[in-house]
Amino acid sequence: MMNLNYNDLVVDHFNSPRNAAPGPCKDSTCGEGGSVSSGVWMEFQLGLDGRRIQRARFRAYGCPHSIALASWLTERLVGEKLDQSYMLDKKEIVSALELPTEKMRSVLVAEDALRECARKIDSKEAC
Amino acid sequence: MATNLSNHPDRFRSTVAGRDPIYLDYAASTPVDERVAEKMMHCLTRDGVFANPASSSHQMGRDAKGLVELARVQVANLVNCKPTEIIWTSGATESDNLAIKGAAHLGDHKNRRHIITCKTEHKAVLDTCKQLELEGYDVTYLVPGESGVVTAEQVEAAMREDTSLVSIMHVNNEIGVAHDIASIGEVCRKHGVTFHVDAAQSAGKLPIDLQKLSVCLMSFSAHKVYGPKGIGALYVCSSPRTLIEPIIHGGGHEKGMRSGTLATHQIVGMGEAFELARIQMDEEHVRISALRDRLLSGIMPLGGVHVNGCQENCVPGILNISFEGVEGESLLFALRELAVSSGSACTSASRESSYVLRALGRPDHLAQSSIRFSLGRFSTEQDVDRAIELLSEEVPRMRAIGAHPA
Repeated sequence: MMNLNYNDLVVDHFNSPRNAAPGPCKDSTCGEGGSVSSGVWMEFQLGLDGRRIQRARFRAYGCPHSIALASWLTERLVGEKLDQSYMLDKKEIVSALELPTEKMRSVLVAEDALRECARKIDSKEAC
Repeated sequence: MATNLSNHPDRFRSTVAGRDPIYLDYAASTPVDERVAEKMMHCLTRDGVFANPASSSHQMGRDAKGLVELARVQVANLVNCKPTEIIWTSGATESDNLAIKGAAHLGDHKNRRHIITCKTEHKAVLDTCKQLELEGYDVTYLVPGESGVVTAEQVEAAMREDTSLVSIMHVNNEIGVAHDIASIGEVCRKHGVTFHVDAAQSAGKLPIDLQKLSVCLMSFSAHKVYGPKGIGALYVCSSPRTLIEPIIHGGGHEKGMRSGTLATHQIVGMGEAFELARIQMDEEHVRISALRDRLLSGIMPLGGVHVNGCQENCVPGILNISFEGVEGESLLFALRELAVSSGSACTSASRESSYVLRALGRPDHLAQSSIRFSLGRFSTEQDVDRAIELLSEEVPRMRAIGAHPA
């Protein structure tokens, strides 16, 4: 049920998103996942040292959980090493954001976006 | 045993950030008018009219019966029908069930098992029709045009030899557009088909004259018109006589069409609410139309604003807007100081986008980003201005976070 009942961390990130990108990606590696028509879309714009994330920015369309997740990840991901099979720690996310089961899709969307970033690193593709 | 408090009301309250919420959800329900509540109070306790209206053996019962019959007159007066044509029910959902199942089951005896309705009907109608499909009935679901209404021509084209019932709502609960029930009624009369109209959203807001309409059955609800929840009525036309089979059996109340002890206080409340609606309708129409226009003109400068449903034939209180580039749940939460609906109150519990808006051909992302603002008797200019102020802060903020992917 959509009961607009979110925990404090979600409300905090929703009200004051961290590292929201000011616009489309310019000089960093970016990847997107999901789609607006499906209800969740996320994009990460990464500053990298090789495969290691040094800074991250996001753009997101979706429910408060999705927006909070994207914002939270931009802090959490610093120092992570990306590859095309990169997996997010779902247990950690679910416990931090109290994500209900029906919102798990947004984690997969975030993962897709990060894997696309990894693919671009591998293929040395410019944004 | 531990009690799960995750849905405790206090947790919701804390999200409103110290401000009183602004109620803009009158299409979902209305507060009971104080004048109505006062009348209802007189029918509850020992010093009031508490006896069973069916107890004709004593004066206290006859007093209760008198109040019930007065309320019947008050309801009938709003829609210009005979009081004897009004049957009390528990609400519009029951009225819809009684009308549709009652007429369909009777049609079945004449081997007429086809029903015509519309895709944008309230679930009380759609789910009742789905149940009848399981019982072997054939249902045609008409698709409305972009304006949100089905036409009399569409209804006529769908008519079959074995059609027994047409059920088309007067005003749609999500987008507020009104069907031309006069023309659709004429088509039904011509084909000798029973015509049911769900008027839960229109009674007390648009004039209804049942003497001039070819409507056989009409559903009403009290709580949309500043009356209490849990009470409604069904109009059953007496001339030509419309027959329906009851779905609730018991003591033979309401001419055998709806058994069960009459809830005097609820009925008195509905009667008073309909009486007040009749007196105030014209004045409220003007005032609420002006508030709606104020809201719309305050929102339009945001750009990417789509009004769902036609603007001409509608109730004044409902404004359904899709905001491009903003997701519905996030918008609802960002606007949590406002009590508004995303889609219909009954459907927003599911993650699906509004079936009404999709039936109108709105793409999913616009259907998902729709907000229904509904204004009513106690709405003020200050309420509307605060809504505009909040929207002007939050919609651009959400759009900036999301941006539009190409």
